[in-house]
Amino acid sequence: MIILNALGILFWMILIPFCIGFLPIRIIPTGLRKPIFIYITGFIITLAALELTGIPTELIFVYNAYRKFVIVFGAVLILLAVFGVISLRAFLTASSQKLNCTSVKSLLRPEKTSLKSQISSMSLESKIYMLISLLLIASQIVMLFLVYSRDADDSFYNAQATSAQVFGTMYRIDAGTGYTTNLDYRHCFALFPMYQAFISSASGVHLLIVAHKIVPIVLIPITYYLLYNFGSVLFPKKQEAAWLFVILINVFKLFGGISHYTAETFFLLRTWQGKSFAGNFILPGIIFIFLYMKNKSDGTVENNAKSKSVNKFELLALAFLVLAAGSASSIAVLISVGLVGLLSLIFLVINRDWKAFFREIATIIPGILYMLLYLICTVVG
Amino acid sequence: MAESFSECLKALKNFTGLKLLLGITLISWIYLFIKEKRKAVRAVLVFLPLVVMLIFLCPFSKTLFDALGQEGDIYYRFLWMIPFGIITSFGIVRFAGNSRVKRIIALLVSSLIIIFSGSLVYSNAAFFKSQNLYGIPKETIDIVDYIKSVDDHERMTILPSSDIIASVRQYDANMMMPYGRDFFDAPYGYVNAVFDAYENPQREMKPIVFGNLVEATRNADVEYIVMHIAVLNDGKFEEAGLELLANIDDHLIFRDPVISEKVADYVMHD
Repeated sequence: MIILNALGILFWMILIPFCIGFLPIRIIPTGLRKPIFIYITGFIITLAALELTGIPTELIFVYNAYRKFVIVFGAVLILLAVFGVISLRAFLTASSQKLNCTSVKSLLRPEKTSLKSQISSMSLESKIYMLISLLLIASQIVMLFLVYSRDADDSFYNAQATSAQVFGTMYRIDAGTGYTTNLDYRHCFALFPMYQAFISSASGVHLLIVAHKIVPIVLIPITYYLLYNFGSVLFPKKQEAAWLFVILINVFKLFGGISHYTAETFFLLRTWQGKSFAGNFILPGIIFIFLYMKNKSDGTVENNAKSKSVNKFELLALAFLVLAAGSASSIAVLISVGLVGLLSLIFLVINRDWKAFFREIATIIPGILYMLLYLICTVVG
Repeated sequence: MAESFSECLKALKNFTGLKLLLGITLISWIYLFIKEKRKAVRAVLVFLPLVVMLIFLCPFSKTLFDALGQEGDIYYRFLWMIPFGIITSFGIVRFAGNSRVKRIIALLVSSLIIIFSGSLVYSNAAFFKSQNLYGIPKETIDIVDYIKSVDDHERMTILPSSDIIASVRQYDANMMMPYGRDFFDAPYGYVNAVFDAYENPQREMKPIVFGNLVEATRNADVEYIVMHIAVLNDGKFEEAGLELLANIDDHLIFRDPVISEKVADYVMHD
C-alpha cells in the first residue's frame, strides 16, 4: 500500500508537472532548458490549471463540487501532460531526433556536458560552497521531520481541504465546526488547499502528510533553485560568487524570522500555505523573469541570441505566475499584478520601449480578470 | 492622513521586529545604489525596492488598501515585493569581488552578522518537537482515533479541549464541533453558549460548572466532551449525566448518553 501511495505522489506531483513543463519547450530559452526548470514550468502551469478548473466548478456546483473537481482537474492534468510529451516529440522531430532518453537528456543539458564533468570542472572553492549550500537546504528538509509548527491558519486551510474530501463540496463547509454554510467567496478563489486535497485524494496519503511534509519537500528545493538562478544571472560565469550567494540566501532565510510578518518566517513556519508560496516563490519568480528578460536584452546573459526579440516564454511565464498567485490568495494576485505593473513602469522609464511595456502589462490581464471576478462575487455574494 | 502614515510606519516597524537584519539590507542597497551599473540589475534590486517602500509609506496607499476591505492587518505583505534576502546577499558577494580571500572573509563575517542581527526561524514559539508525520499534536490523533473506535457512526459532534481544537478537523473532518479555533480570536460580542460554559470559566480561572456545560452541549448536540485533566477541578460530571469513557494522554473523554440515544434514534429513523 505504501508503495502505491508513493507511486501516486510521484506520478501526480513529479511526473505529471514534469511532462506538462514540456508544453512550451519551443519557446523556453536554451539556457533555461534544465530538468528542474522544466518541472517548475509544469508546476506553475498546474497551478494555473487548478484555478481555471477549480473556480468554475465550485461556483457552478453546490453539491459534490470537490468530487467533480477531482475528476476534471485530474483529466486536465493528464491531457496537459500528454500534450507536453507531444510538444516535446514535435520539437525533437523538428531537429531530426527521435523521442528517447538520450535525446531528452541531451536537450535538457544546454551546457552539452554531463553533470559529473560539470562538477569536476568546478573550482575547489565552488565545490565547497555548493556542498555547504546543499547541506543547508537539506537541513531545512530534515527539520520538517524533527519539528512541527502550530499555525492558526492551518485550522482553516487544512480543515477546508479535509472537509472537501469528507463532504465532497468546496468552501461550503465552516472549517471550524463542520456545518454547512454559504460559499466562502473570500477564500474560495485561493485553491492551494484544494490542490493538496487533490494530491491526497489521488495518492491515498493523508492530507496532513501531503501538506506538512510532501509539499514542502518540493517547494523548498524549487525555491532555492530559483534563487540559484538569480545568482547565475547576477554573477555570470562566476560560479564561486553564485554559490556563495546561495549560501548567504540560505542563512538569510534561516535567520530572517525577525517578526511574524517576513516572507522568511512564512517560508519555514508554514511552507505549505499558499501565501508562503506566493511570498517566497511567485514574487521572486516575477522579479527573476524581469531580470532575466531585461538582462538578456542588455546582452549580459550568456544566451542572448534572441535579445531584443519578443520574449514569448518570459511574457507567458509572467501571465502564468500571476494566475498561479491566485491559488495562494486574492491579495497575492493584487501584489503580483502590482509587481508586474511596477517593474514594467520602471523599465519603461529606463528603456523608453513602449512596445515592451504594453506586452508586459498585457500579462496582468489574467490577474485583473481574477480580481474582477473576486470583487463581483464578494460584493454580490 | 497623518494617522494613516503612522499606521504605515507602525506596520514597517512591526515587520522589522526592531532587529538590525534589515539594516544590513539597507547598507547593501546603498552599496548597490552607488556601485551597480547594469541597468536591469539596478532596476530590480535598486529602483524597485525604493519605489515599493515609497508607495508602502504613502498614507494614500494604506487608505486605498483599507477601502478594498481586506480582512486583518495584512498591509505588510506589500513589503514582500522587496527581495530583502537577494539584495543583502548580492550586495555582500559583489562587495567581496573576485578575491578568494575576500569571499571567504565575507562569508564568515556576513554570516555571523546575519545570525546575530536576525532571529532563527526555528526559535519561534510556534515550533514543537515532531511527534508524528501529520505535523499535529499526538493527543489529537490518539483522542480522535479513540472516539472513532468506540463509536461506529460516520460523524460525531465533539467538544475538544482548547489545546487540540485547532487540529481535530484537520485530522478528521468527520468530527463536528460547536465552535472552531477561530472563536478564540473572535471579537467581543460573539456568542456561543458552549464556549461560554466551557472556555470562559477556564479563562477566568474558575471551576467549570458541569450543569451549565451539559445544558449548553445538549442544545448543540455534543456527544463527546474532551477535557484536559488539569481543568477538571471538583466537577460533578456524573450528576450532570456524563459518562467518563477514558483518559487519553491526560485528556478525559466524556460521553453524553442523552445525545448518544438521540443520535441512535435519528440514525434509525433516517
